Amino acid sequence: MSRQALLRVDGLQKLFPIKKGFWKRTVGHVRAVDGVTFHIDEGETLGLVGESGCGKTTTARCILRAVEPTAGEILMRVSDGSEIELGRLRPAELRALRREMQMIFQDPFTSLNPRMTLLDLVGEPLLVHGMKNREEREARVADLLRRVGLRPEYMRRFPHAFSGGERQRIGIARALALHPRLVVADEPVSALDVSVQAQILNLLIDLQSEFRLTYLFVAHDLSVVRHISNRVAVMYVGRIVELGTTAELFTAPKHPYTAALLSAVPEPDPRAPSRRIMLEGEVANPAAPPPGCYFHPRCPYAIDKCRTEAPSWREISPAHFAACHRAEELQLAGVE
Amino acid sequence: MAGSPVDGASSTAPLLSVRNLKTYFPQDEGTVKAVDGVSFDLHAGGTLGVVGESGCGKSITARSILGIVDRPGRIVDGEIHFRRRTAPGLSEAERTVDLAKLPPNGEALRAIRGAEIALIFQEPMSSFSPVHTIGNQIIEVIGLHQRLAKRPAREKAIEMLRRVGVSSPDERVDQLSHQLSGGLRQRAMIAMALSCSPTLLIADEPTTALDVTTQTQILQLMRQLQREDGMAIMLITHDLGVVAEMAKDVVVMYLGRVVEQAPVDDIFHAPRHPYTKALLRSIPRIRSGARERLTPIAGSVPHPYDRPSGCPFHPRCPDFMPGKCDREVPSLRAVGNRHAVSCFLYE
Repeated sequence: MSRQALLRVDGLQKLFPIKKGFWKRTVGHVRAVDGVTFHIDEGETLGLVGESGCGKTTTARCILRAVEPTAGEILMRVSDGSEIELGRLRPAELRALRREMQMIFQDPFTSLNPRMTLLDLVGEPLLVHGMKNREEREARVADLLRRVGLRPEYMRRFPHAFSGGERQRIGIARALALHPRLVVADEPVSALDVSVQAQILNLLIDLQSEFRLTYLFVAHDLSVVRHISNRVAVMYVGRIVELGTTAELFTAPKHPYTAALLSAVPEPDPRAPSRRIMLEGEVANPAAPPPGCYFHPRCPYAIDKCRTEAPSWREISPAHFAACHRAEELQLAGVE
Repeated sequence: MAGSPVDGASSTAPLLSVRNLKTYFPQDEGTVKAVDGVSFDLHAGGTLGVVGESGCGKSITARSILGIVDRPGRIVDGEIHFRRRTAPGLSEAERTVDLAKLPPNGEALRAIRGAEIALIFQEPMSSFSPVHTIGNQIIEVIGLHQRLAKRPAREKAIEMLRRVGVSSPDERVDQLSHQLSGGLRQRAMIAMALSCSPTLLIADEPTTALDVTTQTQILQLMRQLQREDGMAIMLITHDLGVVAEMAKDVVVMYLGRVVEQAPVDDIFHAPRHPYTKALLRSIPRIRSGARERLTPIAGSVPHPYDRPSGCPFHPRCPDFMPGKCDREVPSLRAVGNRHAVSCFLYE
């Protein structure tokens, strides 16, 4: 491997207890993330896609330890080249590492404190991490605002004076304030108007090459993911079902769920041939997933084995992984 | 069946004809012109896509048609001609009513709303009452418009739920909305909307809150029901993919005005208005190279209080003509067969 992995996630699991009754006894668990393994190389973008409730956001939050994982390892390579296990860090050690990993949130209307000016919002992480000098901080904030395409003169204004796209730029400036190496972006453009999405996606790509950032890009919109990711992982009911390079996963998917997801995206072209794969039923309940492959009740290719035996996670072709019993034999259609 | 497609000479008269509709919201800071001179036609059995970004007035247009604009908003000008279905005692001339002139809570409009024009909302979670079973809510609609007794109305509700693909409808009918998944809730919403066989279904972002695989199911269901019942659909959405798939004709709106109107193929393959063109260039597409750069539209949608002078799109327009676009407001002009644009480039 030519590039080094910045982040390695191995067997990540997060169970949320279901409590019932007066004594709040735990009667079961929601298997939000159930054995997720992947790595992200330095400087690349990994897209993490799936439908609502598939565990993509929980995975992202576990990596930042905004949510405590139940099991699994999260290894991050720090500046000196050594790998640190994030799951075992004590709060103080974790705080120091937080400089290196930041998050961009979905909704720019609720993720910015309405009573803080841009200077306070973007300057807060700087202050927390020890930049006490006010002038120095102001200069850095002005520089950051310029980098994300906002006028530094606006730094004494409040977020309400800005549009959705501009607010998302503020959120990005705030995330970049401490020179992070890993940026976790959770649906960063899905709350924005269509005409503004493109601006933010381009900005994220530009900033990535400028600051050599590594992105974990969580989204449900496959078109958006195709435009930004080097590799893509597809999640279904707490598990990754397929992972591959963007080009390969979109043109030659190996898992029937990926193929169905790709086919379901309506194309902005009335002449586009209909290539719908209609999935029956609904996403499985992560509190009581079906036996065998979680996807088998909806899978058009399911065989007896799928109903009883969970498929193994394996490399189908170089750097292209899938968890499907029939991944090798199926010829699934992607999009060109 | 009532609501059969209009025939003979009357088939040329549109089912819905909106002319120069203006719906304003007077506020302390000034008047928000949410809808500012919108005109379009929708024929019986057709599907009209209304596309635009947030704040373009697409939802307020729909609410104006139904007479459910929230206060202080009101229709200040314009006409909404709607052709009612044939009924005994209703002469041919009386069939066309101007909904804009009817009092919003009057009996005349209430007889049309729900019975002849139905609405599906974006958020199925908040559009059902959380404390009544979905069955009772559907039964209420049926009882209101069809004078059915409780038991037959319940039978009809179960039948409607079955038609929209709800499994075991005789159990679901007694459930509360929070017991249903998002997709099922949207199906129940469609069952309620179609329970009185409307001739016009207004669907306001019907699949925006749903996952893609569920969206596929719901769009398919809407097409199937339209084939069976022959109702017209006014589909409001920001998703150009959904429009391309569903609509026959498209209206593109920007800041309360129609900027372009054309058959769906023209909108996507021969767009004329700079906004339509820019929008099509800017959207991420599933068929693209990996990590391909997009061509964004500069700036953002202006706040409704500081609406630009002249053409509302001029500050973001690549073809802006100083002295013209920022002074005068272009009007919608025909540029081809069923194709109209409001832009000075075509005058």
